Amino acid sequence: MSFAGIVYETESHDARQLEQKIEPIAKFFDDAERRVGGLAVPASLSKVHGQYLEAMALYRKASDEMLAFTKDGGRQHLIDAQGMGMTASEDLLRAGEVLWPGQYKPH
Amino acid sequence: MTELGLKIRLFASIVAASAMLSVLSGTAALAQAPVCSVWLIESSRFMNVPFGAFMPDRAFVPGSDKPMSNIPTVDLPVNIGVIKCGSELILYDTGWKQQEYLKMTGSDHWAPIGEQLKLLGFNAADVTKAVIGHAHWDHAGQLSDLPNAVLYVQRAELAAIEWALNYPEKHIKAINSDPGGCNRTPACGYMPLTMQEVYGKILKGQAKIVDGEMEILPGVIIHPAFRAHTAGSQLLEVPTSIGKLVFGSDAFSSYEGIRDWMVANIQQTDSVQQFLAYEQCYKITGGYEHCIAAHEPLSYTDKYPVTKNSWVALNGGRMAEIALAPGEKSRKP
Repeated sequence: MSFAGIVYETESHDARQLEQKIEPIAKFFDDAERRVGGLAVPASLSKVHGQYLEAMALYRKASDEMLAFTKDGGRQHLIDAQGMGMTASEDLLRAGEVLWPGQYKPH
Repeated sequence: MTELGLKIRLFASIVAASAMLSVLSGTAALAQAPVCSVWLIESSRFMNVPFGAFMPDRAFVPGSDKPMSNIPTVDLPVNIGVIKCGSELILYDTGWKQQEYLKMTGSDHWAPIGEQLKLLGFNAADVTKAVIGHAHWDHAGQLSDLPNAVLYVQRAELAAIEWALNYPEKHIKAINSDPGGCNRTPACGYMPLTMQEVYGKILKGQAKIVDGEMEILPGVIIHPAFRAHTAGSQLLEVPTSIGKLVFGSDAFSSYEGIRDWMVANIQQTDSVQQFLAYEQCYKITGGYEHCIAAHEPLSYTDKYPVTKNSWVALNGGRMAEIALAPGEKSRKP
């Protein structure tokens, strides 16, 4: 998602191209949020489940903001999306420390 | 004295006065040639790295008594250049701050860039330019802590990252946090939070996308060193009171490598291009002593002489004062 933004800003300046890159990403996060939300988790993992779910939701919101930019050209959408994406990455890392201590952590 | 003699004497004194004037002007011009002050900061240190992983020609051989193969592991600093040219403050590379990444790599002695700059008497907000040698996680990781800095990054670097991260083969697009991790594959080191740092600067309009060579201040020149470490690696030439320095990030990972013509830290490196980058430093500075390496284990010691004026700072990390411009005070405690 960051690199779709970087390419838009530095090379293409093509909102349609950006939209085409972000749409599948937005769908991915939407699916991920629903799948993670539907998981039955033990009580001991409910807190980290909640954190993971929030991070997925934040990624989805970030992708929605980027799509909103492709519709109305409002730059604040991109700035907000970048901030959300960074927070979501950091939150995923924190949740990942519980789920995969000492291992690779997708974020 | 005859009239001719007087005219000759007058002519000679005019010539002498002109010669004196041109000498004085030349001296003034030399005195006015801009030079910068330079310090080195250790952002963190990779601990216990097998020497052969850093420099293949220094791989440890158990039982060997040869200097080239008798050291099993080394600690590698992550060096940041702090460069003051008049009212401008430049960082060459920015180190990193992402604690998870530091843990993943067994790093120690980290301190945040803002606190490190304060020890030198600077504020992070004073930094006007951040030139990253390349965009790996340990070099482009603190851009968001430099609110007024303009990022300088090669277009070739961004293009290669985009290609690698989107390549349809999982090994080629693998990053360090993917299952199985990565070693020297094309996307290694380009982690999500680091890419966010770069994107953030671009989005705020605080980035200059560089195409090859660029003079960013008088005498302060970016030189491309494509594939000397990564696709868009870049060097930075800096004029100082001790002569020109060339910062090389990981194209110059090892001072001993530059001195002895050995490859080092061959991440996404074309080794021929790395040697050509070494040669650039030799040509610009007249030798190897003023080539500033990003990860030299001998940094901050007498064995890497340009960095020997050093001291221990925050969390056991080190700093060095390399050169001072006329009138610049020492910032060594």
